[in-house]
Amino acid sequence: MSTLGHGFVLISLLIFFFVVVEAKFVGEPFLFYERNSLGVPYFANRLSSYNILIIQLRQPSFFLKKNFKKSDGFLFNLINSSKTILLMSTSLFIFVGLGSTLMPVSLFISGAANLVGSYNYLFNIVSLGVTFEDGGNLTYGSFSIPGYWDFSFLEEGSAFLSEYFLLATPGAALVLLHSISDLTKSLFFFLVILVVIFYFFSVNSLTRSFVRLYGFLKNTVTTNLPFLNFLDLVVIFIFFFMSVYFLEVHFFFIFLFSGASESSNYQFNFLLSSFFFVFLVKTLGGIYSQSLLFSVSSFNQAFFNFYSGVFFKVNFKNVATKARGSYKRKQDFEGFSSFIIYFFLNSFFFLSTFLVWFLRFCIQFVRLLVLFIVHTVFEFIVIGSDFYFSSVNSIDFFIFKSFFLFFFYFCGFLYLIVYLNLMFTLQIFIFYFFSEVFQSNFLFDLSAISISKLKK
Amino acid sequence: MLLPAFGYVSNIVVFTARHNILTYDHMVISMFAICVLGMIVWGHHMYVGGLNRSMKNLFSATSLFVSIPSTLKIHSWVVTLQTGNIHFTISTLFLFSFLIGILLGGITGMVLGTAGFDVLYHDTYYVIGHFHLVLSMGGFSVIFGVIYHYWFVFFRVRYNKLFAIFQFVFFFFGELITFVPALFLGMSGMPRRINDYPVFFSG
Repeated sequence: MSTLGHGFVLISLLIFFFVVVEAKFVGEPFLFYERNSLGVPYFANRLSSYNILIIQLRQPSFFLKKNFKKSDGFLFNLINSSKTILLMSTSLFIFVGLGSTLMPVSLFISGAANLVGSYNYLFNIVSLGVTFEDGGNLTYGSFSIPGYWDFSFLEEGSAFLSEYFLLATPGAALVLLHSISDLTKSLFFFLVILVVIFYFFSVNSLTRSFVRLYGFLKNTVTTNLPFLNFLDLVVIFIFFFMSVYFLEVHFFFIFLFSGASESSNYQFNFLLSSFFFVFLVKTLGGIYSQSLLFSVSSFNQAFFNFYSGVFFKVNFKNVATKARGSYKRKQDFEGFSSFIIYFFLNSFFFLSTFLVWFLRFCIQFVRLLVLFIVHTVFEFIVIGSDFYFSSVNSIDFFIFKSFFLFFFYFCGFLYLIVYLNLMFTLQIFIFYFFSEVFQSNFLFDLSAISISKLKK
Repeated sequence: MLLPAFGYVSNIVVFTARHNILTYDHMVISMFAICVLGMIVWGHHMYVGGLNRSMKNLFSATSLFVSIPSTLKIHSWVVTLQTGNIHFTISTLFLFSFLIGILLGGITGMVLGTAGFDVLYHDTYYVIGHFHLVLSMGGFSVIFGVIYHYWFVFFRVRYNKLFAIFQFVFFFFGELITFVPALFLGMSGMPRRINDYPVFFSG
């Protein structure tokens, strides 16, 4: 089937993702608070959202730290350096934006075009083995893969492509872009080179004057709207793609090592698929409406919460010495109690999933230990025969077995703990805490009720 | 597999046409008929698997019977759209994409439901073209249409319609370019699950 159609569908999916992200940026009629105004917020529509984005990107209040003192400390100077900000922001933008979209796509295309070749390419990278070619054959250790560098069939394909017009023959839809694998290899280095060029472009004097003029990055870069939205964007990217990616890794582990029964596979599949839907609806909804970590909406909520606080106890004696401790407000207790409730629920969910998966890992550990012992015993029996030594190099199998053992025992443990606990806990969280019940200030109401009862 | 999608399609049709579904009883009856008939069509996967002739006839008949309620549903949607006052949205575009996909896939499904033709087209790209037109073009059209339809309900933000139209164009023509040639490839005898293929099929 045609690569052109696949590419069209792939582009449509990318455009769909762009629609999602674009809606994140300017789709919400948010409350905009201007710094120099009298504190009167107004609702912005989609058009003015674009205007605000552009205005904030062009704010000329950019401050570059020029005089670095040693007394400030290396870390302080490093963090406040414009070079660091530029390097981090550009490299993050390029790597996260381009890398997360282009690399899977290019790998997918190259894998479809030349599966064996891309496998060998990745295998050489991963294994860090010394490879050399002799007469069109790839030699790796004791293995020899014939015809590795033989790309003559690509020339035949391109010749056919050039001779016939597209769709002129019944099988024209089968035209594959064979030569894309070279492009794939160069794309990786292209990204690295792009970051380096951006860095050296950003640190010269001309660029600095440009930055000063247009001020798209400020010293208060961490507090402006685009940066916060960008952080949300990074969170979306990482959470979405990495969850999908780890899901693939998970099934790779399970089916490769037969590490689970069919029923558990089924349950797990059901769970993950349901969580995937929960992610789509609840996480994106939560990110849009309240945001996951960094949010303008959260900022507004905290802002109005802060400035609409009711003082119910003021101690005028300690105002001069302890300004913050001189008054008590209802909102502070609400926030604190909600934090406590969140903390306990968080701990409960995390520990419950942790214990469950730790038990599963212990069971797997014992099973694999038995497997390892049995395998070793059989191996010693096989080594006892002369045929074994005369046929293959035995050290390869030992290395492979040890690598497998190390990989599963340690990396598998990390994989289980890091991925399963984190992702499951997060997804359970997102399901419960970004639902409509908790979006309607349920915890605040709960804590207010509890406080009022305590006061009585 | 497409019954939930049918429900969503009815929802989108009502929203698009600003009119209730005409022949609502037929819709319900045909949905029930698809449910019942769907349980007795499993033999159409086994025409070359050793079924005897009478069973082939039976499963051919039931497989072809499914097309009747499906066609009724499509007819109801089209008549509702024709009767009502159509308001174009992004979901409407994906609705038309769904209708085209399921029509193409359904017509080819009639061919594959017949035992004699299915023996000819067994393990060819014709089968792939058929079920991808139904499930990929039909199913994913409904998924995207539903996401765009319930976007504000889910996310409380508005999406950019221009880029949504771009997405539809790429999706629609991409699906057509991908899967319609597969039908012709299958009719030419291109086999499934074969890595290598004759030079005749290459561009």
